[in-house]
Amino acid sequence: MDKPLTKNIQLERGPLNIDDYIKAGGYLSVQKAVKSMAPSEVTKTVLESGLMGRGGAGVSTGFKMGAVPMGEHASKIKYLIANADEMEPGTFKDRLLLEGDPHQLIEGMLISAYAIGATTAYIFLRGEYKLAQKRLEASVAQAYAENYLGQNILGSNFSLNLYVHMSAGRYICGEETALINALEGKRATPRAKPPFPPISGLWGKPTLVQNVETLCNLPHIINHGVPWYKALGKGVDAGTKIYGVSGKVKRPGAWELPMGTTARELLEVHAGGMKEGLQFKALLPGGASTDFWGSDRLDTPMDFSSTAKIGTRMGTGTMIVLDDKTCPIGMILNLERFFKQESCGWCTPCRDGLSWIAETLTAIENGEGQTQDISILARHARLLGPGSTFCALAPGAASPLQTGLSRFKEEFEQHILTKKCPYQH
Amino acid sequence: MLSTEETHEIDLEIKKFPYKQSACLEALAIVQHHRGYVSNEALKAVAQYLEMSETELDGIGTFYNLIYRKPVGENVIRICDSVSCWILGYEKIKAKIKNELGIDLGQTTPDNRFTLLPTQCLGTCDHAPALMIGDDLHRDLDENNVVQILKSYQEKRVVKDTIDG
Amino acid sequence: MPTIFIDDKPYFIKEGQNLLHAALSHGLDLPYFCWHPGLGSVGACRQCAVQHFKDAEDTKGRMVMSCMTPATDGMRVSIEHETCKSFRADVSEWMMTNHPHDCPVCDEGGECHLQDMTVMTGHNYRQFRFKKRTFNNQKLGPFVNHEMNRCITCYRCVRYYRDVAGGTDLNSFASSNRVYFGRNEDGTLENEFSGNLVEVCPTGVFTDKPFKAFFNRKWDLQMAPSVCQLCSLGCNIIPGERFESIRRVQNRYNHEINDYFLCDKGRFGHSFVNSKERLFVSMWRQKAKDVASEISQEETFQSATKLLSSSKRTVGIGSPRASLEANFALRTLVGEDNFYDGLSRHDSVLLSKVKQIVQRGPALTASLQNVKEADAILVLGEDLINTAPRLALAIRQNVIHMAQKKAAAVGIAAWNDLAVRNFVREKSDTVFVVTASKNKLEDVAASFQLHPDNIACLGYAIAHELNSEVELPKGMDADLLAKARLIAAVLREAKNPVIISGTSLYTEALLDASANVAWALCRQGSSARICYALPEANSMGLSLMNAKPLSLLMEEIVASKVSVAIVLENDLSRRLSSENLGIFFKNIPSVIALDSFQQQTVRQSKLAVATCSFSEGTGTFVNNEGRVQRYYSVFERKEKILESWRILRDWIRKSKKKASLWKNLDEITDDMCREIDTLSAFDQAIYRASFQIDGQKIPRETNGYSGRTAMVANLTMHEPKPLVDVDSPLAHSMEGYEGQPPSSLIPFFWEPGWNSVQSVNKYQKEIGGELKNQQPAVRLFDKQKSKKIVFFQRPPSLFKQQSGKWQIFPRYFIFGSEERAALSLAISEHLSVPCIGIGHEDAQKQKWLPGSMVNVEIDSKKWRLPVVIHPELESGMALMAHGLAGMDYAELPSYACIRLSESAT
Repeated sequence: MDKPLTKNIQLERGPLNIDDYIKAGGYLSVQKAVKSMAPSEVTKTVLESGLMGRGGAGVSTGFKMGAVPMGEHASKIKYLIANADEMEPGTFKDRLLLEGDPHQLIEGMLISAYAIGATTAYIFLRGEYKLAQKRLEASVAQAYAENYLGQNILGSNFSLNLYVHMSAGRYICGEETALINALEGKRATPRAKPPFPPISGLWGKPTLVQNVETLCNLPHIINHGVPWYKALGKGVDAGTKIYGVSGKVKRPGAWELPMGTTARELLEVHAGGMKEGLQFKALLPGGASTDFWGSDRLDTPMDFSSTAKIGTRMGTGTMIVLDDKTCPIGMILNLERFFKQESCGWCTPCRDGLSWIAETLTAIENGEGQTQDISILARHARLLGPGSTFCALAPGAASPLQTGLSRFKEEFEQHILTKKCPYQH
Repeated sequence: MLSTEETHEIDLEIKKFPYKQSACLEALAIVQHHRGYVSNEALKAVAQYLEMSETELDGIGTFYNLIYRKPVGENVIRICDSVSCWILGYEKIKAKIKNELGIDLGQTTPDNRFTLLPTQCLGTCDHAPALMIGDDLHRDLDENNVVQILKSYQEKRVVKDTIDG
Repeated sequence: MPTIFIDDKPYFIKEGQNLLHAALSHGLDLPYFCWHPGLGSVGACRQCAVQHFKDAEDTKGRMVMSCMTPATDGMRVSIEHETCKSFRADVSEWMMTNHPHDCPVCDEGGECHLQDMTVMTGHNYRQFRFKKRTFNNQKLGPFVNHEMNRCITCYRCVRYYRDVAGGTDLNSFASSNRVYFGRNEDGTLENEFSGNLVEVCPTGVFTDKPFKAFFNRKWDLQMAPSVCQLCSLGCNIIPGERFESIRRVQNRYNHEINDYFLCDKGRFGHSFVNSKERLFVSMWRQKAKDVASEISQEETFQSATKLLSSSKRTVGIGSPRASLEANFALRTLVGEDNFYDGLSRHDSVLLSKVKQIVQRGPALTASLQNVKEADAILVLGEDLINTAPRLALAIRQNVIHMAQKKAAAVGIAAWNDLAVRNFVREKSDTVFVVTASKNKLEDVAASFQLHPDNIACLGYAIAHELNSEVELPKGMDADLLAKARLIAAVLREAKNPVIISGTSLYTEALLDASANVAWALCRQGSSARICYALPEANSMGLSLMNAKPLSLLMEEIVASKVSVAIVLENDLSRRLSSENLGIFFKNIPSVIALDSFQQQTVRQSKLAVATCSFSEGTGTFVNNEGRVQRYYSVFERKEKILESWRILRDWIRKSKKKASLWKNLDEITDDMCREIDTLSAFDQAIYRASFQIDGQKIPRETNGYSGRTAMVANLTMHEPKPLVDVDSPLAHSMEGYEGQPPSSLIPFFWEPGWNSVQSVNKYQKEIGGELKNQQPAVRLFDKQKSKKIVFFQRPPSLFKQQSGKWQIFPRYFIFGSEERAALSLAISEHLSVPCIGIGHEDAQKQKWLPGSMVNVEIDSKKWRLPVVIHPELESGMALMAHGLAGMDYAELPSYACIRLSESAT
């Protein structure tokens, strides 16, 4: 089985330096693109590959790249940003790629920058990812030294400056327009769309923001072509995916697997099932802002298309497993408290609604719940859905709340009726 | 006043951007790196250097989690309280640290060695529970090893390069 | 015209509007918070949700925020749909989770947008049972009070203060539900337009601090349409009175002038009418050195008419801050030959030049609206933020307007405020501001500093670029010529450019140069306009009176044998050097001064006659563009004080034996229009006292006005009979016409359900546009233009430094240079102090530091002043504070020696 994204990654020995990376076939895609492909061909190839953004939203990458204005009349200054602000609770896939193979990300960014005509690129990196920072900065320096970055890359007309930028820390920076504001040195509140970043992004210039994992896919698509890439996936969606499992399972971890691997396979085969003495209760398939799945959904292929078909989301594909000895209300409280704290404070439903939710859940968990609390929570879960709030943060927060309310109805009622958390001793 | 070293580092950041004010968060981070936190005086110095008002700069800085406007200890412990760590025993680890150091979240030990703060998911959920001390990440914590880890910081400021100790 | 369907009813809309704007323009009730007509849309509060349907069959629809949704032809939306309706109530409920329930004692209560909107959404039952979050408040200075617990986080304050007014000391702090709006630390808000926060804030976070100190309920104020008295722009205001004191001033929307915003001088400066310095009783002084004694109105009349009847020659000295009517009455009393303008020598010359330019030249004058919508602006010399603040704000609004135009190129709607700001990052490339010192527009405009003469030369050079008939000044360096070329190129491309200058640098060449530029543009066929900031509120009006210059009187004063001088609402110590002032009083045995407050001329006069202030009298001003505007008395004092024109009328009646002269304001108005040609269009600007709607006058008091009997219960049990106002269509009553009066007669904005200032929505034809009952403006210089252009042809020489001397120019201050505003309590806490400003280079050469005390010697007179460094100031020139209390009048510009004062700093 091909594992293009992680083939160079061996945690014990650290990442490949540029020489070894090139020996392993690195930067070939840049040679190929810059020397033999027009930027539009690159975009077309990515579009045809069926690659969907790996940040969680699952938008076609080629489509997004194609939205950047090209040609003479387009702005001379354009930006590419790698969204390396991994902060979705339960998500640890980008860290693997950043620490494990930084040149792969740089190569992916070169492909993307070439395709959209970007002149400057930034890696917007989670402030806590200090090791990744060190490794990325070293790799960027190597790439400059070998003229994979800088002026006239590989003797072509294509030039790119790339900077590593450390985030000052805020979950909302993962939202691409908030990220742009953060990079501009402003308060990271999201921006209204339209205009979308490809039209007016960083400092008002056309900008493309792409997730680390997405970018890491690009070299392989260019190197091996569309049919190969499509064949990597198990189901409808193309490519491989870094999946992960955390929680009380035997072997938590992250693995590159064909897109469309089922949740059951991840849980039972790769993560080795639940720890001794614990039963599976539910899982969040891809980070804190996804729906709770019960055992009824374990056979769902983890890809964008299959999950969308049954009205749910895969998110980041790194799942969090809830066992039968952990309080589901406590878990929801933990999630909602996170979202409440990380709300940027821009729009009312998110800012004031999430605090209300967190207060209510705290009361319930502390045995101070009241019967109407469940309907208040249900109302909020409904109200914070898409369309009512400015960005996707609150709808993300609503996902585990709404599904948690229905899946753990009894637990909620028990907390309120008995005025205590039955899971606490 | 900014030190020569600080201005030098800030200048390097400014070079990355078309507008120098865009480097304001890095500038705060730099000053914080050198001084532990961003004092009012430091805020003023950075604001002047970037030709912004203090109010503008502070409004931006206070939005973010990693800019400290209050003094912190030599070692800032940032314990992850997000979902995977919570499932895997964050409360116990926190209780252990509190017990060991005699401080609660948001507090600093009297000897100024440690400040304990919560943090959001550190992106290492397969090795939960986790925490950071300074720039170092510590994972797969339990009630025993966390005490050892704290001890290793009791003596002197530890600088490490790898993920785990 | 595009049509949209709101709840199945068709509405015509304008292209490019958002749904909220469209709905409000049609008078529909749709609640909102973060949106403001002067700020655009940002989609933060989510209060204006509506349901959007795919087609006529779709009944479920999709909820959208109306402020962020373009209204497009054929669109079907619903305000009444249950989903969006209940969501709007939910938004109110969220906002109320933390909002204090202190409405009964809140400063905003009764005119709170949050109250109105909460009632409108129908939210009334509180389910939130947890603690409210609380904040500390900040001390923000004398103008604005801060009460953060009331905040609903709509972000309007920072968007207004930073993005519109250009302030940098107010921001949002922190995040989540702890977002805080304030300063980095306690301190006076630095921006000159901070007072608008009071009206921009939808609830009681930012409130009017002076009003709070003398608080009463808003519905208990008596109000009238008025015009700002404190600069030449004529912004429209609404003063509110209770117990014979002006409690506050609010903005009176006029889309052609001040739209939604006032400057802080205009908002907080008018409480001079409550000042301790007010003159309520006339004073008589038998001999110059006597202590003045109070005399009654009858005694005043007797004394004055006696002085007049025995006078050999009586002169009248008019005033640029008195009404047209008062000046006209004085002119009538003393005769045109004896009527002087009461201006300093320079002001006189400059004003007549301005009059000449705007009356005869081909360029029309610019209103603030013209400035806001201009496609290029050139400011030559004038320090607008200090001399005509609202004009500086209009320039900022212009920069926003032009950014919106740029953003339109990539499909960003003008109302999509942050998107426009994020897209356009650079300063304006169509606004040029050239001043002697920093002008506070540097952050938005292309700006640089030059000596005033060199600014004039630059203006000539620009005009020369546009039309070679204009002489090119000699000796200009390549850099300055390049700037002239660049500016000329931008102006040449513009369709409706505005050229702005003014009189405050006392440099006539600036007026010539700016006229040349505007006229050269007119010659090309563009509709260039010209805009001059003038010294005072009725400077332009006075200039129409054909008064002789005061300096002329001073020249002939010894020979002229004047026995009586009547000084109308004017302090001559601000117009004459102390030496000349001495000569004036020495040579004129009887000086009669009429004014509403104590000032030096009043104190020195034989007879000081108390007149009422603008708040108690009605009168008319002509603003800098030639716009005729009437201000109406807000209230009458129980101890009635008359307007100057009535006092003078009584003297005319007696001395000229015209017993029935001018029974009311209409009669003097008629006479004035007959006698002064330029004012013949005047009567279209005003409503006669007989004007009524549905047989009713327009009430100055709101429907909820309370205490009519209680207020006088210590005197009488009975409700006093309402006072009869013979001068205006307004009534001192809460009874009268309840609908919307014509625009110039609106005493306050109110509609059922709309108690806040946002009720102005209901008075507008289209949101942000003209009022429903908009009267056409009467602008005196719009007609009678000659097409012939005769350029001014004497450019000044470029400035050459004189060794050992400085050329001193006046420096005005928004807070302090206006004598009456300085008497207002709030402004008195914010006054600028006397100082002399010099350039960085000179300061270094002289080794002067900020605060060094120096002696400034002009002729033989000395001023001892602290040094202020203006790094940008050209070497060899200096700026001396002008018009501040306690500073003797200086004839500027003059050359002066500046030496370090011997005594310690």
